[in-house]
Amino acid sequence: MRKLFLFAIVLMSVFFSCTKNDGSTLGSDFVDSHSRLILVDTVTVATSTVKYDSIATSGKNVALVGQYRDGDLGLVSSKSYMEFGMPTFSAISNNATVDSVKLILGYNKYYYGDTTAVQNIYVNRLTSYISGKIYEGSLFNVTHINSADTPLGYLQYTPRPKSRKKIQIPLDKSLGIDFLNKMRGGADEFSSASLFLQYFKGLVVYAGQNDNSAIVGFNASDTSTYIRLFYHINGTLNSDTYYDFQLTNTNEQFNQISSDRSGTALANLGNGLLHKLDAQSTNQITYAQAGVGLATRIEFPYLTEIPKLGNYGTILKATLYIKPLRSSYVHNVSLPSQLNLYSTVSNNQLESAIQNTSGNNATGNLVLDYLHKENTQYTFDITSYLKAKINASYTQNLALILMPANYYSTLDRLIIGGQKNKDVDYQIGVKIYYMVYDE
Amino acid sequence: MMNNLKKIQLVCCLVLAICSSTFCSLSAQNLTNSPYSMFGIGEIESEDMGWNSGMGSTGIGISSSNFLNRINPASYNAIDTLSFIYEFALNARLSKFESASSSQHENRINFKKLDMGFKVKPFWSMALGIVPFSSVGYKVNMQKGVEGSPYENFTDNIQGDGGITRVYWGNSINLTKHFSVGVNSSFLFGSLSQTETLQAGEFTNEVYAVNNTTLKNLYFEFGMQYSNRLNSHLDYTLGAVYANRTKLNKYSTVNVTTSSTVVLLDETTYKGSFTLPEYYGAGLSLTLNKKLTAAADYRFQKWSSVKSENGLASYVDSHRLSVGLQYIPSNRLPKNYFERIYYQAGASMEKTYLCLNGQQQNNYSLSAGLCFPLRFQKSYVHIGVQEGQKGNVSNILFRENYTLVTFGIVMHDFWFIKSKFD
Repeated sequence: MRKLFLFAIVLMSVFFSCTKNDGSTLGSDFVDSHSRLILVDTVTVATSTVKYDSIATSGKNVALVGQYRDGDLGLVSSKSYMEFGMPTFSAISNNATVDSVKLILGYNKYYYGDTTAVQNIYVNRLTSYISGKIYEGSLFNVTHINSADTPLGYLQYTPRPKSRKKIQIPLDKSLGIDFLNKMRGGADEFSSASLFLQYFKGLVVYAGQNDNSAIVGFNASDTSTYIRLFYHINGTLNSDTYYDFQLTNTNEQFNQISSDRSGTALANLGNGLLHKLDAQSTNQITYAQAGVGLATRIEFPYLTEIPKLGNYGTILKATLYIKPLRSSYVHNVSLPSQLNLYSTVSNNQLESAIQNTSGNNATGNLVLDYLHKENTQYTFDITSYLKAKINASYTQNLALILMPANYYSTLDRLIIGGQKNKDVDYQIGVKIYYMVYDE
Repeated sequence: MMNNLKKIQLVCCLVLAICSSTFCSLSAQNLTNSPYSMFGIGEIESEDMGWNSGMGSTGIGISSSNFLNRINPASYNAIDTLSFIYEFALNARLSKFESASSSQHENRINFKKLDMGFKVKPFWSMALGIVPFSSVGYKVNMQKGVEGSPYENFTDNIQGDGGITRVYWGNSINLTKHFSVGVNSSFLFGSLSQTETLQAGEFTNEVYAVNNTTLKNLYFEFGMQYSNRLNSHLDYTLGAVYANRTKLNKYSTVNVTTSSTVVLLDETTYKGSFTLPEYYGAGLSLTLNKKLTAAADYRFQKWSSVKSENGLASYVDSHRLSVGLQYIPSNRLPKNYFERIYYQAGASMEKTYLCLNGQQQNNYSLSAGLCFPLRFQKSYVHIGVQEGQKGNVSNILFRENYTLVTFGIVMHDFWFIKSKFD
């Protein structure tokens, strides 16, 4: 047994066998390397412009009001609908007299268009319930609510979207008198929120028919948007007394956005999920616009050629480059700071957002270069999307949909070059690092 | 009672053997570091790294009751009745690789053998063991261009690991008093892996492309030996060995991952085979007065019938000629310890199966060794040193100058004889 023990010790020494190994170039002429790395930047990227027939704009806490004639996208206008609640009040003196009644709106800093031009802003009283048009919990950019023919208020002003000041739109004094009388008289209309809404169904705020200025964003939340009824008690000096009718039901506040594209490259683009205009029919340019419902569809029709590069292969990295046209971000309109990219099938319904490495929706990593505008670009890492697509066993018509990130609350627009755009600096493209493993 | 004890001993040894085989196959560690190992199934062990490493690994025509001689399975019959032999060996390989542009030193210590042999019946002997069959170990750094992007490069660090292990069961039978035949039935198994680590400026993560290949099959080597004496002074043995062409079944998988362990590609690729060609060997030995043994071997393997997958490497028929001498001053009544030592010397020349860039690679070595008897009866510690050179430097070729130091233990135990301390 002693021998056996010795034998075991010797055996143990096997476990401590060691080796030293640093890499070198020795043998590099002979080693069988199976890996190749190929840069593919000639993959066909087919783009087209699509238009969604409706997009949900309710509950975004923004009132978009105005009209702008966009040189590329036609006449764009937005109306905003909102509901108000009654103020809290106690017994009102018979000596109270209405001074004025105003709709007060605060800027949310967003604008689209020419803010140097004067805007005519109108307010009309709704004659139908907003809630009557709710469809699957939302109100849409195409939803229309009936309102009174004659405006209740009007203001001509020059927007100062970055200002902290609020705009005050004077409303017909008779509305204030009616409010005050009913409050004082203990009318049923002021006995509950729902009865008040029945009586005062809300307002629509819109710009003048012939305006060509800007579409301005206002805060549409219950504390910053209100109708203010100014009154004073006869015989007192203090006239700065008021009742606030605050915006209520923010989920029923929405923007009705229309766009008349006649005369533009998109004049022939029909509404709806299945309509699209290929880039070649729009001068190798495609468009996207939030609020209106325009988006760019991106397809890779010949991706199946890539796996033919080798026996076994995989996409290591795929980057989509999107180049906004030089003329598309001039003084009046800036580039969307963020874009979103969604996968879709043939009917353009959004499936899932392309995500970045940290698992959030990718936003395009905008790089702005005002000096060399051709360097301005968005990039998306579409590695996992293309890998899924390249391995897809079915021939479903997979595509990507590109749209500004704040698609439901702004009018951000994007105009990008197609792959065959005559200016090579503005062509959309994809760079694929493909690794081939040869047996 | 004694019988049971011996059985326990046998079981223990088997357990050890199994443990070490598990170790060898599972760890798949890099036991080699040689660019010669990047071809086929790696560097195939052409030598039996045991007690005869001091004699140029000569042994086809050697029949010895002191040692196990796996080179010729017919030799097991020389094991004494009632005796039980264990052997263990490891070696250190100190190499210097040279190419036209660089040189580097590589040192490693490897397990070489674990075997045992015993007589089952007077006419029948058996051996069991585990030895490395081939080993892969290399690490090459390459800089390659990205196709389609003329100014972009990526690094491809290629590392090979693994090896094939042989577990064998040898049987030898005396057909006549002078003539014996034997067979080594081996199970060859193992896995070879090649990992390519790709790194390019465009990727923050490295990409690993791992090709794992497992190989296995049964492998049979046949041997025969004829021993007789010419006169009262001179004994001789003639031996021959043969192994038939054998295909090792091969299964490969390719796996591409990144350092953040995202699986990019996970494919079971294909089945295939690697062929071990026919092998022939012949040898003889002459022993004078049971003191001086001179032996010579010639081995041939028909590698030219095997197709290489590597464009710059091909297989050609291998030839190996070796000679060895062993001398013991006195084996009967030694005056001192030095007279009980075996003194060995040998030489070998080999035209290896590898033909690189059109040039067959040669391997020459000189060797010397000593076997020191231990206090136990017929047990030895042996040490052998081989000084050799493989390949040559010209063009893109490289050469290895190596020193192999083999160390081993041979232990003899006697069944059915009660020893005082056991």
